[in-house]
Amino acid sequence: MDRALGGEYIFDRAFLESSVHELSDAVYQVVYSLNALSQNEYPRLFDRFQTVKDILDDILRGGAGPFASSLVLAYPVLGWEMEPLVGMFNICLAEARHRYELCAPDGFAVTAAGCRLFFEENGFLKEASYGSDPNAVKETFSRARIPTELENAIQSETQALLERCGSGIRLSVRVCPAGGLDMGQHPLVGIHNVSPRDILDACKLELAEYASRLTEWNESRVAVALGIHETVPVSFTGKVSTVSETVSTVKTLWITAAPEDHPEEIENYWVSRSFPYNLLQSDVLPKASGENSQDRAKDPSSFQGIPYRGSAWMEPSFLQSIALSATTIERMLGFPFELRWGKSESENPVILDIYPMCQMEEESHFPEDLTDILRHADLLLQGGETAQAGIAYGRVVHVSEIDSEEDIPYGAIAVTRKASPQFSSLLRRVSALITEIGTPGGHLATIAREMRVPAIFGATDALKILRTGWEVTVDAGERSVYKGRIEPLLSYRSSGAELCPTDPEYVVLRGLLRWIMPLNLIDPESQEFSIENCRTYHDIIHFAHERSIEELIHVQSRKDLMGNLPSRRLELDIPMEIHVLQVDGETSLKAPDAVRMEEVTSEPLLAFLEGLSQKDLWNQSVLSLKVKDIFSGIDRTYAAIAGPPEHMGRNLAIIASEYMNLSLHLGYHSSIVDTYLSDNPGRNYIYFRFVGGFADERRRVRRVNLIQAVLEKMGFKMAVKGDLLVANLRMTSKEESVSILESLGGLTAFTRQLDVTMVSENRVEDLVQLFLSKMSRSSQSNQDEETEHEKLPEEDP
Amino acid sequence: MNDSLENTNRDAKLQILILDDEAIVCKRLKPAFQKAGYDVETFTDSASAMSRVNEKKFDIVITDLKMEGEDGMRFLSRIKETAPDTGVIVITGFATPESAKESFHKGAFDFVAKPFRLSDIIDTVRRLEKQIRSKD
Repeated sequence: MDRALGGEYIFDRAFLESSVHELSDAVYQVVYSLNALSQNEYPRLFDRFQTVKDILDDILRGGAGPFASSLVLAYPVLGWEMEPLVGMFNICLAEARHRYELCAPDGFAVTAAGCRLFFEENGFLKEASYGSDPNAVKETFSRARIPTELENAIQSETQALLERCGSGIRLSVRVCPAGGLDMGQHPLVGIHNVSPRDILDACKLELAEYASRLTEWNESRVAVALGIHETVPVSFTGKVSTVSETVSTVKTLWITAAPEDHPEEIENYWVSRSFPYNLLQSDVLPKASGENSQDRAKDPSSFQGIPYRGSAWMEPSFLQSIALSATTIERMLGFPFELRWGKSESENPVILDIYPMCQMEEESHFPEDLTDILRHADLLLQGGETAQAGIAYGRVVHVSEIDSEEDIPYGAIAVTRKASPQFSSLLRRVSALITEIGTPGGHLATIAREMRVPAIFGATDALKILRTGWEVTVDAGERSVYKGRIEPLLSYRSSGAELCPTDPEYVVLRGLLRWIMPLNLIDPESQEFSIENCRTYHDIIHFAHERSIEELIHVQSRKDLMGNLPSRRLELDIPMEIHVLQVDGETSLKAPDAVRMEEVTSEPLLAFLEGLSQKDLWNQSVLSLKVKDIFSGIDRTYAAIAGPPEHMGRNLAIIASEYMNLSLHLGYHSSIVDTYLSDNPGRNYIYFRFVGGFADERRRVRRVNLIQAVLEKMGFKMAVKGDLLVANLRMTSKEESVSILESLGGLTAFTRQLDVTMVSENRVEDLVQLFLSKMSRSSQSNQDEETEHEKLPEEDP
Repeated sequence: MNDSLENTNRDAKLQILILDDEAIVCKRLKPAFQKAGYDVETFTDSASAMSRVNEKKFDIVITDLKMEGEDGMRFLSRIKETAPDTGVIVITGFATPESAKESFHKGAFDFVAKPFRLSDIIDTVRRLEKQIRSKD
């Protein structure tokens, strides 16, 4: 479903309904299975599931979910799916500020439900109940009473806004149509510079202004919300139009500017539509000698190459900032619009208003011969998968995880090795993103869709093919990258083929995804990681995943469960016993008790055993235990005898051809490897958990430090707490995963009983080096063997 | 240039009619096919679409199956009666083996279940275009 947001798929309501029903069935199975595994330890998870399911069903029926009854909503919680509740204007300001981090005023919305309550309580829903004379309407509204519930909500939210922005701010109040009403019309200009204590009167006055302008009054006209936001003092104001105007065949943004106190002194600028937004043409007013324009105008020499007709109100860098905001919002909206901006006291462009100009570009803008143009264009790369459709132009920049965000220029076409979530914030800066490894189902792809940044994931050899500094045009929907700037292709950016935030299907899909996708439960070790805090299907699944891994640790102690499962002992050439439970393919209860290595088909297990069975990694010498060691471990010995399952259980590998969950209990420590290994790097992961030991805490922690140092070199992300280590690695190729699993097997053998010998900090680094050298020798030896094997003449048949 | 002449020219753009009662499908398919080099007209009700088919010959018709009023299966039959050479692609969110079988039986070129990728439907139209041009 999330992928449908990216514009790659054509879908309808039937798809949304069937997807939600299928997903709900699957999540129910997850909750059911966790309870089956844990002997009904988590019955309240069923309640959380039902709550989320009810919300999704309501949205599918056309409802607005739990927010439908909210009278006010703060900008930080608004998203596109709430447009029917708060209107386009509020959503645009909120999204610009909180999702794209553009300069836009903070505020809150009095929702359509809030406004309706006001109309209802005062009997204004009846046609012309307040008369037709504008002055009479205003008089009637001024005497109207704001219901107490709404009054309290507005005052409470005003107070919260003052706390966010400072108590000295003034407020603006604006009516905005909700639910797609009057999308093409410019909303009212609103009331500005309102003292916070007068906010209720200002709300009534603005609604009166709206009502007095209506030629007819009916139910649909009541679907309005109010936007209440900070009034930003500005010295200059102007507009940006993204409706294409051409200067020398290049499509431009048209920007106007005028001093706030002289709105008639308008200057015009035309800048290119792509970073760095070069100034292509300007229409600058001549300034009279002695006018104080020098204070307001900036360096005229900056306009080198442009016909000089006097100092301009706006310098190029400021125009660049405005253009950056405009193109970001254009990408966000997906259609042409006009934006009103102001120059704030801090010299930044602040967004004051956004309203659509028309739904789409004129069809006449579509070049007739685009197919021919593209046929003759230099196609540099084709392939991968679309994470977010869209067309972008820019310069290629190779980005790695160690690069600082500030080093990546705005408007770049970022090319990376992996679709690492670490690049999420980068998406606010770049025009497009291309990764060699990653899938549209990953986290970064979700963020790309949220930000509507064109993105291609899994494009093989993208780093090799796309050289740093090259100018390219990316068509993410077609999974193509062309050399240079293909202007006719860029004309299609607002053609309507993409799914836009104003499409009703987009609103419903976003509404559904709000209760499916977000992951609020991040840290399994946190107290917040609880059933009560599961607010989405993703939370429920993540909670169930973490708890099921814990249950798997204990599973071998569950005689009731294990007694029925056909696990078999693996015949190993090392002093260790592992039982395997095959969960794919056919497994017969009558199968022999033991399974031979050559019968194992699980690739992850084979890789792990390859490392585990390296003889020189096993320390076969008898450990020299001192009395102190025995005393320090004696509590764990008693604990072991008392029977905590992790000390008593068998070593169990639950396996499939591409999956392994391996629980090991070696002496007094336990470890888990949970991994999926396939040809698709985007799906691959390795989870490793290690805890415990016999020695005192300092030595156990040193062993964990050793493991941490080795895993760091493999690229794992880790959390360490005392002698507990939890490590994760995602999106590695199959070959890398196999190599890492071999190393984990080797590490398991190498660190067995090693805690007792960790007598000093120095020993950690020494043993890290020793392990790495042993693994390296082992790897070399394997390669030599393979080479020798290849040299052997083939046997005659 | 009249329609029949247009369609005998191998370099002329093929004419596509899209019928789907969900406006979002028409809104998104139209620019996608224009970008791919086709002339496109869209309709959200079958009566208007049929009326247009009676006025102008289309090379390709893409129709939804389950719609208010005359459904896509009936529309497919009438297209094949009126303009047997027109290639018809059926798109539906309610795909069943029976509806697919019936569509093919009535002469549909292909049957595509929603949701589908834009690239997939364009590939289908390209295959149909190849067939149409080879007949020319």
